[in-house]
Amino acid sequence: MDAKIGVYICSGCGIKDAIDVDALTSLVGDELECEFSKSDPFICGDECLAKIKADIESEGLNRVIIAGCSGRYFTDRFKFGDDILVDRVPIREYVAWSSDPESDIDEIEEVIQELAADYIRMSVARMNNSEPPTPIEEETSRDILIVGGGVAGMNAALASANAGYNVTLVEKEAELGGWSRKFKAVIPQSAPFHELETPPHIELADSVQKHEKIKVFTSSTIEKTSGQPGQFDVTIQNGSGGETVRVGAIVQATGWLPYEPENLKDKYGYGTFGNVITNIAMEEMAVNGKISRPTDDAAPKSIAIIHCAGSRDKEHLPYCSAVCCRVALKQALYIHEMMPETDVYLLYKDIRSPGLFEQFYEKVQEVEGIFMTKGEVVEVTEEDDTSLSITLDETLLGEKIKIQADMLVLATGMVPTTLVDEDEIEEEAETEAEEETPDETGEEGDEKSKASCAEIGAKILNLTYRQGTDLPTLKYGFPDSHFICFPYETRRTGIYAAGAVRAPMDMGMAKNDGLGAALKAIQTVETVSQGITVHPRSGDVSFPDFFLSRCTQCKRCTEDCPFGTLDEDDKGTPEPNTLRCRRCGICLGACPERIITFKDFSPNMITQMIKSISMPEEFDERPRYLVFLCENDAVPALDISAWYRHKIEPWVRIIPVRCIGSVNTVFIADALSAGFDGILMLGCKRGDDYQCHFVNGSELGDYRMENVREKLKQLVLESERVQIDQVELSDWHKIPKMINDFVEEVNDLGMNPYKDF
Amino acid sequence: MAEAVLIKPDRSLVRKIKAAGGETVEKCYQCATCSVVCELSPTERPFPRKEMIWSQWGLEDRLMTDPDIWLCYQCSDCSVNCPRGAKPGDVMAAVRRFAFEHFAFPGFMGRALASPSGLIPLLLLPVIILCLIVWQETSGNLTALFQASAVVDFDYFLPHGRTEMLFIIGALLVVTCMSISLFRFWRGMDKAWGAQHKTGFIPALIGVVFEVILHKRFSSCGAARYRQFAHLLVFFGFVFTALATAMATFEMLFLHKFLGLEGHYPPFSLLHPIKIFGNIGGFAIVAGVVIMIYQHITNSENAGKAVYSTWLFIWMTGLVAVSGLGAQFFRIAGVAEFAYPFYFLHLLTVFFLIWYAPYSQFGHMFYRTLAMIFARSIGREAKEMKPLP
Ligand code: SF4
Ligand code: SF4
Ligand code: SF4
Ligand code: SF4
Repeated sequence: MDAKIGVYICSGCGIKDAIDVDALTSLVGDELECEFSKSDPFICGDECLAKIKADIESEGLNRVIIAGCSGRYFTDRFKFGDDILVDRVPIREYVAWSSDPESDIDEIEEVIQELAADYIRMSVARMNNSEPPTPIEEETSRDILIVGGGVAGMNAALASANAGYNVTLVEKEAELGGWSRKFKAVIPQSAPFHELETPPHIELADSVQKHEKIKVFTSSTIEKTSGQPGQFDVTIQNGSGGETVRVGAIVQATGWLPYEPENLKDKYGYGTFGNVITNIAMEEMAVNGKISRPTDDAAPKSIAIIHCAGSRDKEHLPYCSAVCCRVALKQALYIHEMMPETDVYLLYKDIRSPGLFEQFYEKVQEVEGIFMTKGEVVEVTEEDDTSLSITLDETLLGEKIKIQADMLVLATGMVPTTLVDEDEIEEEAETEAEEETPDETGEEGDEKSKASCAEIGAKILNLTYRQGTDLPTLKYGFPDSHFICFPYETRRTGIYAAGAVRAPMDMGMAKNDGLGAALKAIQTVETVSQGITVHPRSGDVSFPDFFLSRCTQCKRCTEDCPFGTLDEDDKGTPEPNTLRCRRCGICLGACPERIITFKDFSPNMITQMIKSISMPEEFDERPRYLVFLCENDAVPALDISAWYRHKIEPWVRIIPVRCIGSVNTVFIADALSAGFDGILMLGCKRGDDYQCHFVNGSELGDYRMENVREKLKQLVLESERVQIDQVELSDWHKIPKMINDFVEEVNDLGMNPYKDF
Repeated sequence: MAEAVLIKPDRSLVRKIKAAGGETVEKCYQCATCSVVCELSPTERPFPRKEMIWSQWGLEDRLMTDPDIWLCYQCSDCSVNCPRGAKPGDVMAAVRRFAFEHFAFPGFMGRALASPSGLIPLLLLPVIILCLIVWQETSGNLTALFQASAVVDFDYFLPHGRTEMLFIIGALLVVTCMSISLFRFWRGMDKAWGAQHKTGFIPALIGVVFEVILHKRFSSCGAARYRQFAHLLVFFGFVFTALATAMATFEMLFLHKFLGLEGHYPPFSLLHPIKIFGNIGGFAIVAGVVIMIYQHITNSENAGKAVYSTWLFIWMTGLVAVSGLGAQFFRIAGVAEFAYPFYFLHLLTVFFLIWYAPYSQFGHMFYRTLAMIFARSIGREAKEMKPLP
């Protein structure tokens, strides 16, 4: 369908003070092929909106360009129906508010006018090269699968079922309950946080089992999970036979395992001395009602508990498991309740009982016979069969001390069930590497072995994804996600992590996690049923289209997609599972053949936009800079900066993109040959503590810069002309400086010599 | 590296400290705010943070060899600032109370003074002795004392010579017992602190005496300022009455008895220096005690927790002064019915205070002084406080 474009230019909000709106309006007709253009002092007002709607009717418009405020304002007011593509051109933020008419640039007014005109030109190019997206319409399931029947899992199941969704709950053990079933008591969860509580699983399991919308599979595991959100086909195996269910979303609440105490043999004598046990073993004894010294079964007169046993320790678990301190306090309390004459020593690095749990700590402090000190355990030795001695340094008692205890309990930390044994990975990777064809080298080779790591991963979901069988994990084996900003998210769309598998936590938090992840699962089944995407481009209907007849099977897209959307056939041609897609455009940025396109975002569209920008000749001394801004953080950050009227150089033209990972190196080549003097990319923070909304988009952007530098070399251009930088939303006040410094730096290099070609 | 010391906690001591006014001790979580705010604490191994954990663990040997518990003047600055409400000031006081018991020689005296159950026997002892004297002197004929025509004559009732004797014998006993306790205390500190004495005992003692006279340490206290004033009144009250007593002894024993001079035997005239000193002292004590009682009742937060032994000491001190002044007043006024009982009470309380000094809070005078000398001699000085910028 041919584009019929109407352009509306707002003159309010200070725009007309900076821009000659009439001149801008007359661009259309003189230069740009649009139906018409109009200006209005108050576009967002009802009157003008009614006019636009009438124009759409009478003129048969199918594209509307609103030049005024940023698309982040009044988003819903400027929606005119699914078949009308709307582009919001932020001449308010990018031109009126951020250009400085007082600047000492020659003919500054004209320069600013040029800037505004370029944004209109870019928008027209964009409109002429895109289509209104249409949602994917497929039959989807709204059922939810919960993997793991512990506290998080059962809460997720109940929450989903109570919201009206059919739930399948798979538990590996014969009974529901998880760790709760193995605990004597749990940390108090309500004010005044003084009394231990009975483990929550009894009531929970009962409600789960009775719920008519929940189907429970115990003693079962997952043999295979294939498909995509809305269409996951999950084969549940219970030993005697498999059953396949179709579900729309999955919550993985597979919990944690205690840190392997065998590793603490040298440090604390676990396994060497009979009376050194773990907190888990203590819990078992307490459940059985009798705490006794393992070597002779006698009642201990003193018990020492070492906090952080193997936690916050570079040699073992570098992180804090968040609960072991409170578990140690809990155990001290019930030991006292069971045997009041027994002395309990709590030997800690720090006591971490955050928030209101401080009150629990206070309570335990007041119990007679519980003695606490900070200190570094330097040695554990055995006096004889029935007595251990523990040496601590740097204690609060002010000296190096030795304590004698009948038993020693190690408060070990939590390891997620998604953790893969690293030795196993290495072995497996080595054998794989031998089998690999030798042409897989460098980064791609690494990527490959990373993917194969996941294949031999935790083997919980047994996904049939090309990128691996389980959730990709972070450094310590927790599922990869930005767990502060986007809890429960994982890198597998429609699969959410809840409970201690996501981060170490207690049962109270696990309960909340179950609820939160259930909400995410519900969101997924609802959105995929409408063919739209979930977080972070929630509601986006567009999706990538692969013009596969021109695919060279380079596999870049299948490897780079952070969400495992693409499987591949025998030849290596990508097979998209669009419902897994989060619409980040990273594949588009990867594809050297430029055959991946969205209806409203494509390589061609960007190229046309670049070409539409006015390019003064060298002697004009009017440089041109292109800035690709990530829509997630950088775009809103610049909006804020503009709101505060921070100024940026008027030579800059901004193109917002879905993710810095969606910037194809071709765009940069195009821009350079079009005569741009420099190109800057601003994306989210990358690295270990990344903030990229699409996980590794920003990282990939940086990596691709390598190729770009190669290209620059071939063109005999300075590598400073193309740069990438990181911004967080809170960096909004830094953005103008980043851009202006870049402009200044490249200005010093002189104009792009390719300008006049 | 230093050898590790075997540590054995003692629940019963924790219980004792809690009962002696330190019931908040377990609340401490070792943040050390107290040691930072305490103006009297040295920078090295400051108090009272370490005493808090020693108390939580019931580590008797550490607490009892620690001069720091006596360097604390219970100004309550730490208690006011403690984020946990652990009242370290009160705990220090409780540990001191335990020290009277711990060092007591003979040991049972310490226990007797520590709880109300010991009060009756402790009172009975001087009562019986005094009664015996009265009985002997008056041959049981008490009515003669109260005849309307008779002048009030304390010497007849309880002869000064006898009471002086009692006083001197008592004092000798007390000094002996106290010395044994102090010796043990000093030896303990020496051992625990492995101390190199930088200053000799005598120079340190002189320094301490000046410090005590000037009440220097009190003046750095923030939360309980009035204490300096009240303590100063009671302290100088005692100094004055002690001077009066010394002078009286001198006059009676030396001038009167030894040299046989006339007019050097009580009663003295109200304008006699002995009387002037005695009366100033008496009134000062009463004033100081009134402030203390008032503060303990109305401002118990900052005044520090008062327990049985605190009250016993405060009331005895007050009674000594009130009964002394009362006896004098009624003697002059010729009201025998009141004069004799007041005089009896006065002697009773005097003996109570003096004989039991090492085991009651009165003993703080000795322990504290010794601890201060020790601290001075090893160069343990309060940190220099710089005002915050
Ligand atoms: S919760 Fe406490 S014991 Fe556990 S790792 Fe954290 S600090 Fe250490
Ligand atoms: S748009 Fe993003 S999520 Fe979708 S296929 Fe491409 S890379 Fe994967
Ligand atoms: S990146 Fe492009 S060429 Fe390469 S496999 Fe994917 S679609 Fe094919
Ligand atoms: S007594 Fe209070 S201020 Fe001092 S260390 Fe303990 S908690 Fe902190």
